[in-house]
Amino acid sequence: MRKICLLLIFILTIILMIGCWDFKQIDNYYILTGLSIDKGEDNELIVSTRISAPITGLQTSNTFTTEGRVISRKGTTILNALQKMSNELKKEIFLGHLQVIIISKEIAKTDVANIVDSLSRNPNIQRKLYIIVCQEEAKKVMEAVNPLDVAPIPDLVNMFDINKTNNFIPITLDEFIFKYKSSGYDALLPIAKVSNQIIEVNGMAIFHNNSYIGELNGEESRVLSLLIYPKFTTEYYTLSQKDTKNTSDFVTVKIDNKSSKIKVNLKDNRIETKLYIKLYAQITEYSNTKENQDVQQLYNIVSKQLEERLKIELESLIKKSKEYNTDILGIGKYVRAKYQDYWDTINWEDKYSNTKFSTDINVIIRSSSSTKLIAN
Amino acid sequence: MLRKIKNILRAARNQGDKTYESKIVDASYEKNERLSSSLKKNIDNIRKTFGDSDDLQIRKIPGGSVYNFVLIFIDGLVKEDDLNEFILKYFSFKNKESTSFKEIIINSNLPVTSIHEVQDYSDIIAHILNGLSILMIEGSNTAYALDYICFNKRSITDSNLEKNLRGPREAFIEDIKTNLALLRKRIKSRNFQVDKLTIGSRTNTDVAIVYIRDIVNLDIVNEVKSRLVNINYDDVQDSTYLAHLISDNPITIFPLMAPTEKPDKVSSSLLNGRIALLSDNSPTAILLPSVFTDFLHVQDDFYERFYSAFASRVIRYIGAFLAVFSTPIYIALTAVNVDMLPTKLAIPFSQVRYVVPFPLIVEALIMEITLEVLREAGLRIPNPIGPAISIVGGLVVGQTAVNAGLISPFLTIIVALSAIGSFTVTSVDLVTSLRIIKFLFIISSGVFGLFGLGASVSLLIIHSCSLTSFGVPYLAPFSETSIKDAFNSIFRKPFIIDFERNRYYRIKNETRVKK
Amino acid sequence: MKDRKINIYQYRAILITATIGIGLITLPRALANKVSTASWLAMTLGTVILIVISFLILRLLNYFPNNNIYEISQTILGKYLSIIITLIFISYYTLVTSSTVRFTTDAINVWMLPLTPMSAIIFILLIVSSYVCLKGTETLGRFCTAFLFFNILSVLLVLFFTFTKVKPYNIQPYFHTTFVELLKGTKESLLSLLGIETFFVFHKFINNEQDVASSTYKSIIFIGILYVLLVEATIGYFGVDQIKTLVFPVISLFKTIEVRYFIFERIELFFLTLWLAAAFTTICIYYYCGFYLLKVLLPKKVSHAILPIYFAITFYLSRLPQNIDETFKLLNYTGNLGILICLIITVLLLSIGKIRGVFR
Repeated sequence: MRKICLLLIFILTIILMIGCWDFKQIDNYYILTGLSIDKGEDNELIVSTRISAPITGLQTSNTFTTEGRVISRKGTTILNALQKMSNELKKEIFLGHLQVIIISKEIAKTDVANIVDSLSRNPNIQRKLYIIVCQEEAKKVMEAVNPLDVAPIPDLVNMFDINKTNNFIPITLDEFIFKYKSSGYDALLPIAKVSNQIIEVNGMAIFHNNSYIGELNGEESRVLSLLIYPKFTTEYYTLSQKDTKNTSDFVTVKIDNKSSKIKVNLKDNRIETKLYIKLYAQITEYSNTKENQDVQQLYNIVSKQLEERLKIELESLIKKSKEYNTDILGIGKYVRAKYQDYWDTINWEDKYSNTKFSTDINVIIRSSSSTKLIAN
Repeated sequence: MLRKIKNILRAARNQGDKTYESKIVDASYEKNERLSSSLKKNIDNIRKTFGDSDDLQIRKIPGGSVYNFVLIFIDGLVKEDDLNEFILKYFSFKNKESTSFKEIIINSNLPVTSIHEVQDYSDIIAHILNGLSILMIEGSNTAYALDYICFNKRSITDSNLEKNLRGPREAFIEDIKTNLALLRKRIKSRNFQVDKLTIGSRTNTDVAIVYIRDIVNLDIVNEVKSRLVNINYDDVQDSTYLAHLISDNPITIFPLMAPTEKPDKVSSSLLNGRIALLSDNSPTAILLPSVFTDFLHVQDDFYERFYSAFASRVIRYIGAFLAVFSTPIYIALTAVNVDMLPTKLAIPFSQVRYVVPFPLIVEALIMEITLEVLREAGLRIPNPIGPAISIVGGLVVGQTAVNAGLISPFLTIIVALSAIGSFTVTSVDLVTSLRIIKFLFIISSGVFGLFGLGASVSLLIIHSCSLTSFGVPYLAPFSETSIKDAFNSIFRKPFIIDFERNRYYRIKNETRVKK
Repeated sequence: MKDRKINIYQYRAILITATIGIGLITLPRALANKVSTASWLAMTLGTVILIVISFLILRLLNYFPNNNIYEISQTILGKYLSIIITLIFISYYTLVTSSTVRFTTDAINVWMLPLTPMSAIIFILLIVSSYVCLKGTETLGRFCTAFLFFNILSVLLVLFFTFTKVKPYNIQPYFHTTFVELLKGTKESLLSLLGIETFFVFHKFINNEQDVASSTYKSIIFIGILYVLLVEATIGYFGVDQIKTLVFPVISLFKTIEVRYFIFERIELFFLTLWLAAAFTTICIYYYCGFYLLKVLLPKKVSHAILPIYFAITFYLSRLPQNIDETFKLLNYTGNLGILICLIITVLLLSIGKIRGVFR
């Protein structure tokens, strides 16, 4: 009996083996790494992507060539457009390696909810892809090819990966959904612009209640990144030198490390928020080296100057956020965590503009790099 | 006319039957029958027992008036010079005084290692078969078995199969006595014990069970003995025959007993409480019980310092892993679960495969089978043709097939990786089964991707969990005992803290040295 | 001593691997839905309650070290009632097997093999489990011990990747919950902590009875700690609001984790494969329990032929749910049944035994 059982199981297994339902060889797919979404007429979406030109010679299989073609199709939804695209390309489209999605401003204003839903539902799509808002047509970003680029889309992604400029904060799909769906937090996306085939990312778009409502410029994003962006990238601040009459003299401070904290307090039914920023810096450029300079004093002056400057920037950022009534700093999260009972009784949207902010910025200058400040 | 032919045929048939019978007559003597005092009858009986085989030498020596005696031996198994000397000496003795034969034998300084008195036919036959010379005397019902055994044997050389960097190089040869001596030389302990048996109803091969009395679990020894005794097979050419015959599960794909040619490995295993099985005419000792990790360990680990031993063990584990899993994982990632590959790999993979005419799984099977064919061809090939194989294999498979677009270059890399990985596994037995298992994995991962791979790995692990080697679970340190044991089995302990033997061999005495 | 096939390590492994299963993937969402940030409290309470339950069960089993549930209930309740109780157990084990199989199939269908028909995946899962049934208790014990490493590794993997990314404001406030919510959450945590009820079958096989109680409690506390950490890590990573929307929160977590410059950029499939090992052990254990009790119940002649029938029943039950929501319903229902069985039948047997004076 046991043997018959085994035999039966064996035969059935073999029968099962024959049906290779999921055998989908990698070469039957167009692997897309980037998508751009624009608004067309009649509320249709225009989805474009870059497809690398097929290669025939095996030996020269240069994989990421700039010689791709940008193709775009219209559709009522993203999937609809992609389906049309795959029909015409005679191959299936594979989204598992999607790394960046660019949406135009109009889309950001109206259709973000649908797009995010469609992206987050697809189990193939990585939740760590980057989303960018484009000032103009999103397709332009797709088309932009810098002669120095090896492969346009992966290079763009690489820029987000290493993020050297601080004029924007890279936001992945996951972070966006997280802020977008939860209360007490408002979502942001970086903004890109194309000029002369060069993609420039600068500033952040602010989302509130499912739509784009405004934007921060590069400076504001930089201050914001000090507070909410956990990773740190080196940053330079150039300050005019106040201790001399000559206004063209300057000092450049390089920030090595930062730590920031947000604390909330409930007082008289009003939320008081304290923003702590601590920066560790060193002086990297100093145009007016002179004799008998008191180094400690210079450090103090420079750090105070930088603190003041950051404070002004931060206050303007807070003012802007109150104007838009958007909680881009995520104060709501802290309030919910600390005062859950209070949080349950209020509507955060009404209360946010009433929040009192105070800042505590502390710059510590550690050294003057590899050269002494005192001239001999 | 017809009847005549029939009669002739019948006669011929009868004739045939008769000769056949006379050949196979095994017992022309009763069981336990003793020698008679008639020399002629004895010789006839023996000759009949051997069926007049031409290499049976029966040398009659007329001994004058006192003793008429005969020497019986098998040609080629005996050192004839020594035998002749024996006869000469014997005569010189005999002429001095006429004492009894027994006294002569005992008192004389005959050039012989041992002399047994025998009285049974069955003993005599066994002795003759083992190469002893039988001396029989007219009128006496006692015969003497003289040890003038001389097989031509190979001298002790190093092993071709098991190479080591450091440590002793000598390997077993085809002679059981030499092999046992090699072991005895290494373990000078009174607890070193050898139990001999004769196995194989026709080959009557000497088999030795070797163990150390106060370490080994005697239940396992008895189990081994009873299984050996119960072997019902006529042929034992090599000790591996025994391994196949007494295995716990003869149809499993995994090797359950570890063959080795190195006496140092055997003796160190004996000290760990294992048992070695040696057979005459075989340069291989079988170590048992064996668990899975034993096949991945080599004796070199103990000669190296423990850091390098640890490192090379890890490398071997990685190699074994690559040997089995590199191709299946490649298949799973490129054919089914496409989204797990890094993007920078996925795109070249997809583009390179544009030109390949076969489905991925067929392509992989072609490559793997070609590789196996090449390997099999290279194994037993005469030396002069060897380079030709590698040129053909390397050029055809490596270069031309890729250039012609028959096979994608990435697959070539992967298959080469699995081949190289398999070379790190030194155990021939394990590597063969791993190679077979690999094909199962390739197919299952081609159909169900990583899920299929996971399922078939589970199935295989369940199977190996159900295996035992003489009562010791096959996945022993991992499937039943604590983390400590598993750790000791993966890494070799430095000798200064190595106080205990591995517990999972179910041994009697676990302490190696007192702390 | 012929039946004493499992040593204490294997016994511990069986308990842990039976417990770690689908709970690993769904637990954070289930808890976040009920008690939001006080999940750890519910989880801890669940562990404590489970220790009480296991104390009761071990109390009962210790009176009968050489018997399984059928023989125990036979001595306490008599022949006919014992058959009913055994049948309840068999149906419970079968239900757990089929719902777990179905859930695993759903997960595989969503994440790994979207086009493969469900029956094929269920078939493969059950075939592997049936192979264990053919091989017996010893093999199951060794299998669980060998796979224990993978089970714990899959939990540790989650902790490892989320450890640095837990945001404190996501797991605060720690105590904000109501009593009713907390009770609901505790029940939810109990569902994924169940595994102790397999002892009704395995207890008689253990060759080292003295250590059973202590190692049971140790294992339960170990799992409790692992799960508390898992829940806190996942909630701390995603936040309560987002976790409520995810069907498989832990797998989604791995989709967001970024491991650049590693061989496998996408580790969620790697995690899924590891988790499959956890699912396999859970399925095998429960499937074997049901099969074993069936074999005990039926006369020897028939018991050999029972495996294909048992296979078919489990297969049918696994095909039953129409969609993933029904799978969750089935899982919930089975879990409730498990808690009831653990509590009511154990207490019933204990008290009736006391009254009748069966225990010496």
